[in-house]
Amino acid sequence: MGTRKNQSSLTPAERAAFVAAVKALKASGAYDLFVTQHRTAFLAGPNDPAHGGPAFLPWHREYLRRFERALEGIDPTVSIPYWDWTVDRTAAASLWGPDFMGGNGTGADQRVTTGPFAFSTGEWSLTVRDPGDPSTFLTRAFASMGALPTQQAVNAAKAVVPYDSAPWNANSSNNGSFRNRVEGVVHNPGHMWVGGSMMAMSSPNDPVFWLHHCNIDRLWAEWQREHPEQSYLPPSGTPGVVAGHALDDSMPPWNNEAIPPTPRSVLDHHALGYTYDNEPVSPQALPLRIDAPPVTASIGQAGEVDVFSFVVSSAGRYTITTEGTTDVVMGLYGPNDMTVLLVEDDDSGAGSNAQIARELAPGTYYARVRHYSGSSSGDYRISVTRAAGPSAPPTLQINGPAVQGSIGTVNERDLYGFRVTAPGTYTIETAGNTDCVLRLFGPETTTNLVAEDDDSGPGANSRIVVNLEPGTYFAEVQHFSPTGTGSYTVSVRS
Amino acid sequence: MADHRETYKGRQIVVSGTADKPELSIDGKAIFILQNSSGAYLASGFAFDPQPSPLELARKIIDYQQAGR
Repeated sequence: MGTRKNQSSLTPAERAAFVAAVKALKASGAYDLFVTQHRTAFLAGPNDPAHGGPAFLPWHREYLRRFERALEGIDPTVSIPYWDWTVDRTAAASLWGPDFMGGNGTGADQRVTTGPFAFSTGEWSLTVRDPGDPSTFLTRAFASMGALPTQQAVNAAKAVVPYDSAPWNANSSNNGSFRNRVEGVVHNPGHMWVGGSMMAMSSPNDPVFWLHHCNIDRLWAEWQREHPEQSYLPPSGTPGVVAGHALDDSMPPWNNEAIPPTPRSVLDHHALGYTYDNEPVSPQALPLRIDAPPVTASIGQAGEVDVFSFVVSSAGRYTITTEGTTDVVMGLYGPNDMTVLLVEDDDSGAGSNAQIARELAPGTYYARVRHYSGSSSGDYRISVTRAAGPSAPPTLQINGPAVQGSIGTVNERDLYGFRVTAPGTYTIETAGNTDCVLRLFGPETTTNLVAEDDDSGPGANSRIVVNLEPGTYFAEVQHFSPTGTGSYTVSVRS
Repeated sequence: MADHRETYKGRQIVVSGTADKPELSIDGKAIFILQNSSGAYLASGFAFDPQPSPLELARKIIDYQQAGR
């Protein structure tokens, strides 16, 4: 897996290798095909598949990865570096050195005259240009128009959710569309600050284009990691979305390929084969075996999140336990979906360890472990055990007192068992001020849905009236809203 | 649509053509423009600061040309 590094940390040899690979692509003509693709996207105007819409980030992720693969074809050690403009903000940055991107434009024509991409090298003339533009040399005009994004602006953009919102273009709210805020408030100013060739539809003519967009892609990857509950928007079929911009749309100009890329196909940048040098380690889930001895793990650096997976093959009560002196917090996700949070726990285990005990249906589950403090690290052990014997959720007594329960975390599902000994009509219901959804499973299984109800009881309460044969049944209580919490009682009567 | 002419920072802007297909020139030189999906205008060499109208786009281009010298 290639690692994309901060350009300021590259060794002289790494800088030279990147420049050499870029110039080899230019010499072969491949580079200019990339420039053409970008210009063509803009020239589509209202149908631009790459800008001014949700696919701005996925289109450029695909585009950069294809460029990077082309570079790798020249030199397998090369990855695209990123330009962190929150740090490297002036013409004096090493980015603009004569061994790398070269300097600012000079003179009335703003011509770049230093570095490997100066026209005078004879190796960097612009053949793909915007309509009516006669200039065959690279131009720059630093800081003529606006300023580079600040760390504060980046942080504010990364806090915005959801990913995007109607009208799915440049008029989407900067406070309700991460994509539009990044594109308009962070990305556009980078192009404008460099000026010259970078302001054009043909802006990849300036190789700093790739470093600028690499940083934009890194911010998207960070946003994805920091907002795991936020998915790409919108789904395909949403009205008013330009073709190529919805989740499962093929992205032009690659839409005639056998398996065309879609926004969905690029959501996981690790699956595309690269990572960033500042990512927390262990992005992949480490499998745990049920009832195996505890596995030693470590929050090696502040902010790291460890992900474990385990497979439940038979329904039952499972307990995930951390041990050691590190104050960890654990979230349980699943089944079969790393983004669905079931429950989170901080200190239910020994000392300040986390422990989650829960009825689980068959499937793959994920435990995400982090330090309670975002600035601390430490070792811990983790294990998963299955309760001996048959599944034993809390039981409801038929015609007994209502049992008090609580949806303490979003997406929590509480399971209760009860034993029917005589066939007949039974009423299962919730009470209280929490809008619950009630599901009945059985007999003898938590996977066969017998009945489901939202609001048949008083207020927003659930009530299921059903004829049951003898056997063990399971009542599952969940909040109506995926983000809701609250307390309730549940009861069964004949 | 009647042509709109104005002098901005000593430069002559003319917006002509139709409402559906406006045309822009600065100092008599035609500028290639087009609209994006939100209806804003971009120009050749000026793709990353879309403006609500050809006139405002022309002013931005002139701002840049004067600042960038």
